[in-house]
Amino acid sequence: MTEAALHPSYPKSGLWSWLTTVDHKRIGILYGVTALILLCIGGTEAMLIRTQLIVPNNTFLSADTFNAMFTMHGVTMIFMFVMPMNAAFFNYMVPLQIGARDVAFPRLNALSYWVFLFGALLFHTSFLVGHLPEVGWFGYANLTTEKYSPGMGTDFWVIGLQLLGLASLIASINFITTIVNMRAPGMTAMRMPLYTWTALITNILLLLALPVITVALAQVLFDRHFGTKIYEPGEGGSVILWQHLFWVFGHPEVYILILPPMGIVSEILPTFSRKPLFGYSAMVYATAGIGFLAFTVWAHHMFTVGMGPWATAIFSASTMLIAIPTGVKIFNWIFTMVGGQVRLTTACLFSIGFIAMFTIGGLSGVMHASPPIDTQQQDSYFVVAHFHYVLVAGAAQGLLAGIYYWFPKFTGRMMSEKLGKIHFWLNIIGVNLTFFPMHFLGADGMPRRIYTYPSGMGFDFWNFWITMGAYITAVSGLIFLINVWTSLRNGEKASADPWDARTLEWAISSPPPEYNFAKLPTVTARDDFWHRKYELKNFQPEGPAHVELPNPTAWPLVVGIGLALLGYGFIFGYALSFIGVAITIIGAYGWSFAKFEG
Amino acid sequence: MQQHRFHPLMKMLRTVVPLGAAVLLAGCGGPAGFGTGKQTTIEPLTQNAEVVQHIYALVTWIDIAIFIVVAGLLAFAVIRYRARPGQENELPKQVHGNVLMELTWTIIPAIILIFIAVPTWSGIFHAAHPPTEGAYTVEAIGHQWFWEFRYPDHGVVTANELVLPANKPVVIKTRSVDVIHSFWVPRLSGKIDSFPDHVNQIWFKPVKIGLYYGQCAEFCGTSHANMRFRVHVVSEGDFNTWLQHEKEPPQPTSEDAKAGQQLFVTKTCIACHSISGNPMAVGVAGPNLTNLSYRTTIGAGILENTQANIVQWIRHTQSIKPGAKMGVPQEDGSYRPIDMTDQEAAQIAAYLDSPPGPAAGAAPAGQAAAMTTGGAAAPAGGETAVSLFQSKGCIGCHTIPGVPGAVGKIGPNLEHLMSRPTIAAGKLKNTPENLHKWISNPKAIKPDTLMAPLPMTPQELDTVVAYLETLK
Repeated sequence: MTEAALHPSYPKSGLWSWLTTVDHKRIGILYGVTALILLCIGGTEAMLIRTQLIVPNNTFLSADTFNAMFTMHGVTMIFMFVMPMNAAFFNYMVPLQIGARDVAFPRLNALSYWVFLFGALLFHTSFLVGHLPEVGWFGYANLTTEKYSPGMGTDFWVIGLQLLGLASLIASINFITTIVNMRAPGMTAMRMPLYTWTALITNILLLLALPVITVALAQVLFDRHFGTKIYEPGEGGSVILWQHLFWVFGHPEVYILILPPMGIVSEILPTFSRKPLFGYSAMVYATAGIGFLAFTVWAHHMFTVGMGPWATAIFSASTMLIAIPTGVKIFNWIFTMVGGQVRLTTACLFSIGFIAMFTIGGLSGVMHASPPIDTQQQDSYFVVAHFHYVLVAGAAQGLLAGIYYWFPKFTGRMMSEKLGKIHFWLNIIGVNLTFFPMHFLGADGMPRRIYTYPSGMGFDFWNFWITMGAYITAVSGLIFLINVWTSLRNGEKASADPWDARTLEWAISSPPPEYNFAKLPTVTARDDFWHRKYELKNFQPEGPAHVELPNPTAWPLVVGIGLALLGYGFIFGYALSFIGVAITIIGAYGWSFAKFEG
Repeated sequence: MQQHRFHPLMKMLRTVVPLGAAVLLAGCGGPAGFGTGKQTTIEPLTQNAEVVQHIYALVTWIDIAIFIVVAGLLAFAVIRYRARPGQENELPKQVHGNVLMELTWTIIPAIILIFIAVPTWSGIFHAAHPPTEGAYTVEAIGHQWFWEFRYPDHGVVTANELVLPANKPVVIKTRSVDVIHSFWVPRLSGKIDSFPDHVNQIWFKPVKIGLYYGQCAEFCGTSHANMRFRVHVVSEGDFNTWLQHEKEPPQPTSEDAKAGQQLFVTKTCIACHSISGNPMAVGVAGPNLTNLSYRTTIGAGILENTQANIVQWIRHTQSIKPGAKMGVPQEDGSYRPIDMTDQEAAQIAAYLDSPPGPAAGAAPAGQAAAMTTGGAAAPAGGETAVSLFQSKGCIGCHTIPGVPGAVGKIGPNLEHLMSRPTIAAGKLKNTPENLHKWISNPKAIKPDTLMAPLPMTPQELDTVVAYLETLK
C-alpha cells in the first residue's frame, strides 16, 4: 500500500494525544473502553441485587441500598453501557462503512464523548458522597419531588441523565450529517451497509426523542430547585404528565438500544454465511418502520394508569403492529443463512444466539401489548424477564457479537476463538438460567423493585436459581474481559480482511491508518468490497493522495469540563455553575478561533 | 470430524433439554413450579382474572408455536448450511431475497395478531364497564407504606386487610395521599395504579371464600416491598358481623388493656391513628386501628398479628419496616420510636387486641369525621392548608374550625386563635413569626410538650400559619 501524504502528522500516543483527539476511531475506542468499565460497574450492581434476593428476608443490603442499586444498575446499563457501546461502533464503523475520512464534525464528536464521560462521572459521584438516587431509572413523579426524595441523590440522577442525553444529542446531529453528506461517491442510500442504516435511523430517533426527556428532566430540576410545581399534585401540577413525557422518550429509547445491535447482526450473518443479507430492502424498510412506530406506542407502558378503554385499545393495536417488521427481520436473518456456508465463529454464534433470544423477548412483548394481560404482568418480574431478554440476551449479545467481529479492525489483533466460545456458551446458559425463570416469578405475582420478600409466597426456589444463573453470567463476563486483555497483548495479528467480509471497512488495513482511505473509494455496488473481491476481481488502486485532517484540539474537553461544572453546581452550590458557564464560554470562544486544518 | 461438527449443537441441546424439563415440571405444578404461589396470576378466582388468564393462555400457546417454528428454522439453517471443509473455493448462490417469501412472513404474523387483538379488545371493554346492579364501592387509598380501605356506604374505615362478601361485585376506587402506588390482588384481578391527583377504578366479583394476597406494585419509596395487604372474602353474614365490629371500639377488660387505652392517648398514638368509637383517636396519617384483633397481620401485611409482634413493632419499627412514618418525626425526615417501655408497649398491644364492643355513650364522632377527610373534593397530598392539617397529623391533637376531621382533644382547640394574646400556654407572644417558631420546633420552646415537630417545608409552614391567622 502506498503511504498517503498526510498533513499534519498526528501525535500517536501519550495521554495528551487522547485528550485532544478528534479522530473518530480513537473517540470510538474511548467510548468503547469507557462503556466496558461501566458495564463492570453495572454488572457488579446486578450481582448485589441478586445476592440480596437469593433468600427470603435477606439482610445483605438495606432497603435504601437495594433501591439505590436497582436505580444505578438500570441507568448505568442503559445510558452508560448500551448507548455508549453503540456510540463506539457508530464512531468507529460508520465513517469506514461509508468510505469517509472522518465524521462531519470531528470536534463536536470529541465534545460528545467528553460530555458523556463527565455525565457518567457526575452520576457516579453519588457513590463518593454517599447520596445515591433511589427513584428507579424511570424516576416517576412525584416520588422525585423534594418532598419525597430530599437530599442530593435524585439530583445526581437528574443532572447525570441531562449530561448523558446532551452527549447523545450532539452525537446524533453529527452522525445524521455524516451519513447523509459524507458517503463515498456511488454509495447511494440503498447501497449503504445495513449497519449504517440502523445507525442513521437510531440517530434520527435520538434527535427526536432526547429533547422530550431533556425538557421533562429540566422540569423536575426546576421543581426541586426553583419551587415550580409542574409535578406537584394539588398545586396544579400533574403526576401523569411525567409518565407521558418519559415514555415518549423511553419507548424510542428501547429501539435506540436495540436497532444498532440488529444492524451488527445484519453485517455478521452475511459475512459468515458468504451470502448477501436476505431481503436487504425489506430490512431497511422494517428498520425505518420500527423507528416510526416507536413514537406511536409509548402509552403501552401505562396500561394500568387508567387511560380509559379507547386509548388503551389504540395503543395496544399500535404496539402489536411492531411485531410485523420485527418478524420480517427475524425471518430475513434466518434465510440469510439458508443456502449459505455458515461458519460458527464466536461472532456468528452470538448473532445466532441473538436471534433466538430476541425472539423470546419479542414474543413476551406481544403478551404485554395485550392490556388485560399487562394488568397482571406490569411491574412484575414477568416484565423484568421480558426486557432483559430484549436488552441482555438481545442488545448486549448483539454488541458482544460486534466486538468479536470488529475487534481485529479496532486493534489489529484477533480475539481468541477458544475463549470466545467458552464465553458464548457460558453466557447463553447463564442468561437463560437467570432470566427465563423470572417469567415464572412474575406469573406468580412477584412485583419488581422489592428489596425483600417473605418466605412461603412461592418465590424462594426461583430466586435462588436466578441468583445462581446471574453468577454464571458474571463468570462468563470475566472470561470475556480476560479474552479482551490477552488478545490485545498476544492475539494473532489480523489481516485487513480476516473474515472474508463484504463491506468497505475491511478494504483497509487493521487497524486503519488515521486517514482511513488513502484515496476515497468509488462505490459501484451494495457490499462493494465483496463485489470487488469476487466480481470485479480488481481492487481499486490506493494511489497517493493529499490528505487534510482536522487538528487535534483540547477545546472540546474544556467545554465538556465547563458543562460538567455547570451540572455539579446544581448539587454542590451554584457558584460552581457560574464557573462552569464561564469555562464553557471560554472553551467555545477558543474553539471558534482554533485552526481546523493545517 | 462428523462429531466435531456437531459439537456446538450438542452443547446447545444440553442447555435446552434441562431448561425445557424445568419448564414442563414447573407447568405441572411441581413443588418448585409456579402457579402454586399465594399471589399467582395464573390460577384466577374471579371472572375478571379468568378473562385475563384466557387471553394469556391463548397468547402463550401462540408464542410457543411461533418460537418452535423460529427456533426450528434457525436450527435447520445452522445445521444444514454449516460450512464444510472444501467449500472455500465455491461461493454459495448469492440470493438477495424473495418477494413471495417475504410477503408470506409479513402477512401471516399480521393475521396471527388479529387473533390476539380481538379477545384483547373485548377484554379491555369488559374490564372498563362494572355491573351497575348490586355493585358496591370500596375506596383503596395508598399511603407510604400501607393501604387504607374505606366503605363509604357503611361509614367504615380499615387498613391493610380488606374484607369483602362473596358473590357481590365490588368496584375498587383507588387513589393515593402521597406518591403513586398500585393496587394488585393477582388472584382476584389485574392491577390499577393509585394516583395522588385522580381516582382510578377497577372491579371484580369474588366468588370463593378465602384469603387473598395483594401487594403494592408501583415503586413508591423505601419500603415499597413492605406494602402488602390481604383480602378476606367471607360470607354475607360474616361480612355484616365484621361491619358491626368496625363501628365499635376495643373493650379493654384486663388492667393492662385499660392502662393501654390511656397510654394510647398520652403517648400520642392518637395523633396518627383512629379507632372507631374512641372520640380521642381520630388521627388519619397512620392506619385506622379499629377492630385490629380481627386482622391477621400488622405493619401492612408483614408481621403476624400477635401482641408480642405489636410490641416489637412499636419498639423497633424502623428495623422491621425501614422508613416507616411511625413514631416521632425528626428534622431529617426520619422517625424515632415514641419513648415508652416494653411494658407500656405491651399494655397498648393488649388494648388494641381487646375484642370490640358497643361504645359507651359517645357517638362515633371521630369516625364520621375521619370519613369526610380528604374525600373526593380535596385530593389528599395537595398542599392546601386543610390538607396539610390532615396529612401532617395536626388534626390528631387539635380541633380546628373548618378542617374536616380536626376534632383532636389532646392539644388546645384552635378556634379564635387570633384573639389570644399568647400561644404555647403563655410562652410566646401570638405573632406569625412565633407561630412559625413554635410549629417548627415546639420542644425548643417547651421541652416537655407533647406537640411533635412535624416535618414541613417552609412553604408548607407558611400555608399553615396563614390559615391559623384567619382564625379570628
